[in-house]
Parts: sequence; C-alpha cells; structure tokens
Amino acid sequence: MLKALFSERLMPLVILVVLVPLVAFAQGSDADVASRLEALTLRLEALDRESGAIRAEIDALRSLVAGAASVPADDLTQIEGALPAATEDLTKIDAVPAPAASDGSLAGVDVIENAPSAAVSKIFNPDIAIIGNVVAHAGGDNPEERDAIALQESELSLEAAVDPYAKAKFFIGYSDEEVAVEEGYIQFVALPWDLSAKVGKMKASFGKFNPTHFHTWSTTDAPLVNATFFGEEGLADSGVSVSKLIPAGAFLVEATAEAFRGSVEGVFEPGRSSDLFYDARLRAYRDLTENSNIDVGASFATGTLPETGGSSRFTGIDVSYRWKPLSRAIYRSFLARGELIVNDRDGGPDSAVGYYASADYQFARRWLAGARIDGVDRPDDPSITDRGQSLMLTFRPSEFSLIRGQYRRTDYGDGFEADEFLLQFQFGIGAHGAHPF
Amino acid sequence: MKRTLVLALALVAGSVAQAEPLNVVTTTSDLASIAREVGGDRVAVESIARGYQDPHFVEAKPSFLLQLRKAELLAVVGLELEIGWLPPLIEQSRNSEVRPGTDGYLDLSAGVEILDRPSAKVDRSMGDIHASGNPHYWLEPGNAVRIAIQFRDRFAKLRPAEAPYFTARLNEFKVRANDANKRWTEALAPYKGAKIVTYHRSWSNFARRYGLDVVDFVEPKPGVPPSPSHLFELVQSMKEQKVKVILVEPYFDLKTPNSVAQKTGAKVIVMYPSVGGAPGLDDYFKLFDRNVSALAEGLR
Repeated sequence: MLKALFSERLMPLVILVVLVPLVAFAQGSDADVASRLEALTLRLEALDRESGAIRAEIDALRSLVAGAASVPADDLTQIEGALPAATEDLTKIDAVPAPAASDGSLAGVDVIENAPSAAVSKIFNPDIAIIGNVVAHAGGDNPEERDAIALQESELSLEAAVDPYAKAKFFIGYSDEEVAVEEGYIQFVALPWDLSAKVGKMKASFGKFNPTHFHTWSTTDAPLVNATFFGEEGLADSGVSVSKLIPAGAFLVEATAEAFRGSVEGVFEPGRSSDLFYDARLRAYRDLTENSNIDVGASFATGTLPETGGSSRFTGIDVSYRWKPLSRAIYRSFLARGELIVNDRDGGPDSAVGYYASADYQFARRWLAGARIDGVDRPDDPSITDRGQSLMLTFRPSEFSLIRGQYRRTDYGDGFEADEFLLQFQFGIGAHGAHPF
Repeated sequence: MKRTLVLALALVAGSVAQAEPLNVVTTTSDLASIAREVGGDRVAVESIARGYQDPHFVEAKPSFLLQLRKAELLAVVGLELEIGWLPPLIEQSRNSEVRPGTDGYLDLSAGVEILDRPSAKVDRSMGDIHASGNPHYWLEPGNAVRIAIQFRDRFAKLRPAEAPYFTARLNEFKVRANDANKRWTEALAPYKGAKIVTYHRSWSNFARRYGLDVVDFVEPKPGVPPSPSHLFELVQSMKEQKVKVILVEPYFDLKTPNSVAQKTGAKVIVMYPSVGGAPGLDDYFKLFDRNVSALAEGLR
C-alpha cells in the first residue's frame, strides 16, 4: 500500500524532470527561455522538497506500523547507528542526538527518551508519609491507667533534599493529647572525609533501640530499660551530631559524637544553659556470611540531673545478629538483639542496670514471631527492679500494614504484677519509606 | 577478523592514556554484566544485589556502604525497584558523587522501552505497584542494547579519553546481542502466541519480544501473595486457555506454583530474571541461553 502511494505520488515528478529540459529547448527564444528555465528550476526544487516531505511521511508511517507490531525490531545492531570508533568526535558524544535509522528498514529503534512521569509537577514537594498506630489493651493489675483502645502516637514524616548539600527530615508525632516534633533536622550529606552531620532536634545515637521510630519495632512498646531510663519520648533533644565512617578491613566502623541542649524530660535538666548533654557512640559491623551479619556497639551519654544538678551518666553496649538467606529473603529472617545500659548518678546510690534481649523469627512471608525479656533497676532506688517478659505474633498483610498481638507479663519491683494483652494495628500511607534494617 | 581489528584499534587508542579503572557500582547483577561488556578492563564493576535475590527486597546492609563510598558511578534500574533500600544507602555512603542528579548517578530506565505503565491513577489497593512502569525491562535484548548505549555515553563522559574504546566495545556487544537474539528468536519461533502464566510480572518485555502471551499471574497483584480464591480462578482460567507453563522466579516458593501445575497439567519452569541466578549464569548471554532453552523445552 505504501509502495503504491510512493510511486503514484512521485510519478508526476519523474515525468516533469524528464520533460522540463525538452520543453525548454523546444521553445528557443533567449530571454524568455532564461526566465522560464529559472521558473522551472524553482518549481523543480519545490517539487524536490515536496518529495522529501513525502518520503519523511512514509518513513514516519513505516515506523508507526513497525511500532504497532507486537514484536520489537529485530536487528539490534541498528538500535543506534554504529559510529566508527576512530572518527568519533568525543566532544559531541553527549550533544549529538542519536541518528535516526534513515534507511527505514529498522525504523523506531534507538535509546528511548522516556518522559518524566506525571508526578513531575510535584517533584519539589517533600516525600510525605503518615503512619497510624492503634493499640488495644486488655488485662490489669496495672499501676498505670490504660485505654481499652486508642490511636496512640502516630507519625507524620516529611523528607526532601534542601539543596545539593543537605537533606531535611521532619517527624511529627501526634496523639489524642499532643502534637510534638519528634525529630526535625537538616542533614549535611556532602561533607568530605566520610563525614555526615545533623543539626536540629533528633534522637540521640545511643544504643540500638533509642534512635528508632515505633513503626520499625517488632513490639508494641519500648523495653522497660528504655522507657525507664529515657522516658516516653526516648533520649531526644536539640543539638548537633557528627558521624564518620571508618572502613577497617572487613569491619565497617561508625563513630558518632553529639552535643545537645541538655534538656530531656525526666532525664537531663540543665541548671545553666551551658549544661549540655553529650553522647558518643562507636559501632562496628561486619558480614559473617552473605546471609548473616553482626553489629556491635558501645554508647556513652552524660548530662545534668534534674533536681540535684549533679551529673548522670549512661553507658551501654549492644549486640545484634541478623540472618536472612538471600535466595529466600521474602520468607525467612531472624534477628537477635541484646542491649545493656548502666546509669550512674552523682550522689546517688548504686548504679542502676537495665537490659533487654529479644529474638524475632520470620517463619512465613507475612508472619513473624518474637520474644523479649527485659528488666531495669529504678534509677532513684536501684534496689527496686522491674522485670518483663513478652511474646509477640505479627501478621503483615503487606509492606504497608501490620496487625500484632503481644502478651506481656510485668513484675513491678514494688509488688504489682500485670498480665496484659496488647493488640496493635499499624498502617502507613504516602511515600514508600525504606525497609527497616 | 573485523572484531580483532576493532579491538586492536581500541587498544591502541586506550593505551595512550591508561588511567585507573572507573569504579562502577550497579544495583543489580544484570546491569553489572552489561556494564562489563561495555567497560571491559577500563571499569571495575560491582553489583549490590545477587542474581538469586528478589531485587525489591535487598537489605540496606552497611557493608554495601564500603562499595558505595568509593564508587564513581552508581547505575540503577530505577522505576522504584530499589526504593526500599537504595536511598538510605546513598545517604549513608557520604559519597556526594553518586547522588541522584549527578553525573555519577545513572538511572537506566530513562532510555529503555518501558511496559505496563499505568494509564489511570494508581494507589496501593493495586498491590505494590510501580507507578512509572514495569522495572523488569532488562529481560529483553533490545533494552540490553539500550542499557549498553547509556553505559557507553556515561562512561565516555566520565572518562573522555577512553570513549573510542567504550564505543568499540559497545558496537561489538550490539553485534553479539543481535546474533544471539536471532538464535533466541529462532528457538522460540515455534511457540509464538503460546499462553503462559508467570508468578510475578517480571516477563512483560521478554514476552513481547518473543511473542508469548502472558494470560495471568500467580500473584493476584504485584507483591501480594496468592490467595485461595485467586488460585481457584487461576486454575479455571488456565484449564480453559490450555496454558502449558508457569514461569517462576527462583526466589519464590515453588509450593503454590507446583500445586497449580498439578491441578492444571501445566509445567513449572524456574526462569532466572538475573545474571548469577544460578551457578553458571555468569553473564547476560548465558542467562538468556538458559532461560530460552528451558522455556522452549517446557513449551514443546
């Protein structure tokens, strides 16, 4: 069909090309001939252009036909006109658009410039995600009043690049009672010497549990040691954090040093504005096999006590062992973790010691079982020790939601005993966050 | 003869300015394989994910930071395939040379043929859907060449003195890919139009290239494990349409596909979506040789 069109439309042109000189010569009169010759030359040129346009149209149609066929073009060498290596102008490598397949036989094959997706107009908006967290509670003999069911603290996160040098992240916690900035900081990612720095309000890099957000936990609650030593919100404050990566053979070492304003409710309270609280952490990671790895860390934090004005020091060690067989990664994984924290206070009695040890095993694609034991001496009276044991079962319908049951038994050092059942519903909408590690 | 000449020429051109090899990190082993084809000994390529691993669910292990912190080029599949694990790695690597938007970051989805682009508004009720199209585009030789071209362009930009070498290797790769593709096309030609079922939506580009008809998936929606009701429907529709094979990626459990196969008389074929998915599948050509012959065998 195309061929027929081609020859039909070009035939007059061919005839004209042949006839024009003959007709011109037959006329004979000089000036007349000259002007007519010129006119005819112009006409011929116009026709020539027209035939070029027709040819281009045919090529375009051919490529459309080729594109509509279900099988892509066969000759892969033609995907881009192969440039002879020796004559290639290096300066033009990026400037020159790839030449189109001009012979038509392999139309429509080249690097495809994919247009950015429709979301491009929103590209400068931060990535937004909201994680809801509903916890139902049953069981009693509990020193604290608890709701039967409540939308507990949920989290709104906003994240975007500030400029070529920094990212900003905000995590806003909200519950029935309050809305608070859990974290909000700028992170400088383009520093030399493997350094990274954060400025703003953030969770202190103390141990493994403290820096995490609730939606990455494998439990509905924080271990007793973290809740008792660092309070509901954890060790978080306004300050500066600098960390450095130090490759050391098979180990990856990360050293972090932080200085904070010094005010953490119930934990640190500055008498003067120069009473900062400091935090330091050294962590070493290594792969044991491609399926397993170990992560060990030591942390230290010191600040001013709320009432006495003396200093309070926390020293912690932590160990994590992870196993995840690469070829079955979506079905099986295991994580064992332990953390021990000691609190010393000026003028206080003995040190208070707290710990937790937990194990979580993923036994099916969407199922996870876990256990945790934890305990802590009360810092103001270390002779009183609270102890807890928990069993967890988690079902994750998808990456974006989970339902978790936790049975928790707590022996409070002052005589209370509590057997509780917690049921958690957690769900996230918005930007796809990173998988927890 | 022609090949040796081109290589010799490239060698001469290259030896003029022999620099340190370009440090390239790719997210997947397939990109690594194609990068090696184009880069030869002028690039040192490492892949983060292994071929037998589901590339959606790689863990952001700190050991990858060791690779990333010294990388001069990070090549990614894109289309949100790596969204769950790559952003924190880039951030923690402290390597500002490989951040998105720099010359050290190459998203290969920008220049390839993308299928399964959702035409309507998407949300997560559709499963773990990729809003910009199917990220498994590398499983098609035409796209392999498009990936190679993009590698050549970027390598040449980062190492201008080596550009002729990369171009010579690219052209050689095109010829080899073209020859190999003729072979694969021939091997699958008798099964044109064959109806197949796949576990995940990994084989759209592959199926289009070789004229196979993917009629259904073992997963009801991307990333969603099969439910009993979906499997019941799947068995019915496979029987009606006389589907003979179920293609399963090696990182999925075979139990469900096997039971579907048993009920329908179809055959389960483990198809490797990535280089290194099994011992011996060391490069892109071996990967396709193996997959094409296993598929032809299964469809016979």
